[in-house]
Amino acid sequence: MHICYSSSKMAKHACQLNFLSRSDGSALYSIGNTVALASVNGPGEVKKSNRHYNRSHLEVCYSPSTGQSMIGERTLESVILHTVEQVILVHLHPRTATNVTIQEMQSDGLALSTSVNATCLALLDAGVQMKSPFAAVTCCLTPSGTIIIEPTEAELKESEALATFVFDGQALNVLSAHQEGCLDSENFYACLRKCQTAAKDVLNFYRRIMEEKYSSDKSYN
Amino acid sequence: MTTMDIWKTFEPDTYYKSFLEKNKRPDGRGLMSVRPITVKVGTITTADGSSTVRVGHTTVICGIKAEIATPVLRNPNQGFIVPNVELYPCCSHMFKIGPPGEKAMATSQFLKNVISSAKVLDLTDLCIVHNKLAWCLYCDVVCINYDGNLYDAALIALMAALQNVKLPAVSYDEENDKASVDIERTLPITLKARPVASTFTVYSDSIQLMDPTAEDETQGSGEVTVVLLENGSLCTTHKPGGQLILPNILDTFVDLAKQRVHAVNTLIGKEINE
Repeated sequence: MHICYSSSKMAKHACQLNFLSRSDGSALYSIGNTVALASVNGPGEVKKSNRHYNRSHLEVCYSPSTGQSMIGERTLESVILHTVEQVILVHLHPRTATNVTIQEMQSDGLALSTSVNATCLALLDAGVQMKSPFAAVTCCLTPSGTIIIEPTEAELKESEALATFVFDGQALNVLSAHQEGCLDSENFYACLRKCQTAAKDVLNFYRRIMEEKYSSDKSYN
Repeated sequence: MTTMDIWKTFEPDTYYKSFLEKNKRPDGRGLMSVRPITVKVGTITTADGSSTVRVGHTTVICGIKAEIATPVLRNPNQGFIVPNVELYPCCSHMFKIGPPGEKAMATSQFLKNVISSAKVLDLTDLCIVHNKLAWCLYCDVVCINYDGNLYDAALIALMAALQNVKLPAVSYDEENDKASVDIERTLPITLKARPVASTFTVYSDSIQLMDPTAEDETQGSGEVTVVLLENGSLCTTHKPGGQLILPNILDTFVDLAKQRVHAVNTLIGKEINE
């Protein structure tokens, strides 16, 4: 019902929670010009074939803004699924299923981190129990050796390598990592440290969004 | 059935844990030791390049077929390389008949990523005639026995098969717009880089295992794969979720992976030269 902006050492983050009225939780989230809409439904009904005796079944569906869903989208779904699986307390809801659907609205190169963060906000909006929130940050290394956090598509085209890290909210340990292009050890760790610091800002952003959601002068159904 | 077999069937978790407490795995290996690797090239005579790789019990076959295609307008002087991984039900009970599942797609994408990140091939080398003809290498990687660590085995198989590829000479008649292929004269392709992958399973905060078997992967909580080039730089890191790790653990993985790079490339080199 409202929009928040993050402090800007990085690209502008904006988010609107409860965007979809029929989902248990949803978030329209953007980093710069990349926009993703995540919707969470669950824990709820599950097909017999997917029923687990001791946990909830997780499904992630990602739709690109243009074109058909192909192998790139399937791997993105797989990465988000394994990330989210680690954080949601699946054992609290046996014999149920939780669905996460992500629609890419606009693409400016940061599909993975925007989708992951949108998923986290949608899960927070739905009230699904998690161990901690998680934050994804992408950075790229330019040919001149500078590390840019949350680059645009144009900056990514010029870069030598890019890396996306997902950190957990408690101790900022690495939950997921994805790298493309060559990086020597030094640069890899420099990227990791920079992303870790940027993740703190993302987590603070989540906190401000949730504080505004529950602030006393608004009424929510 | 022995008592050990009974214990393994009825309580696989405690059975496995009892080995880890003594810093060993059920197959006798230490936590950071790797399985023996066997590489054979030229195993498929009808393919333009092929290899069979065994990492412990995991067996992967790679066959490469070269076809002539038209380059895309955006890159008129580049050829194509299309890796595709298949996981048939014969390799493990985990995989069913039908379209490629998650693991097969993830592995295909991983191979694509490594090839473009490491710049293994210069795609302009695959171009025959600018804007008209180029080679397209279809690389089919098939797993026939899955015992864990598919990423490492698939990459070794792909690299060995690429080094085994012999492309026939093509002559192009401009006036009649006809291409003719001379199968007798063949040339190998030059590879600019030889990346090697090393996969680790994270079992808990303090226990990590190198080169996991299928049992290690089921018991563990997530894999981490690091791909290094010969000069030690990191070409790809792949950690799709799974147990949280501290950044200094990634350090340990990279150091262990460095030792593996040289060993694997020497092995492939020896096979190619025979």
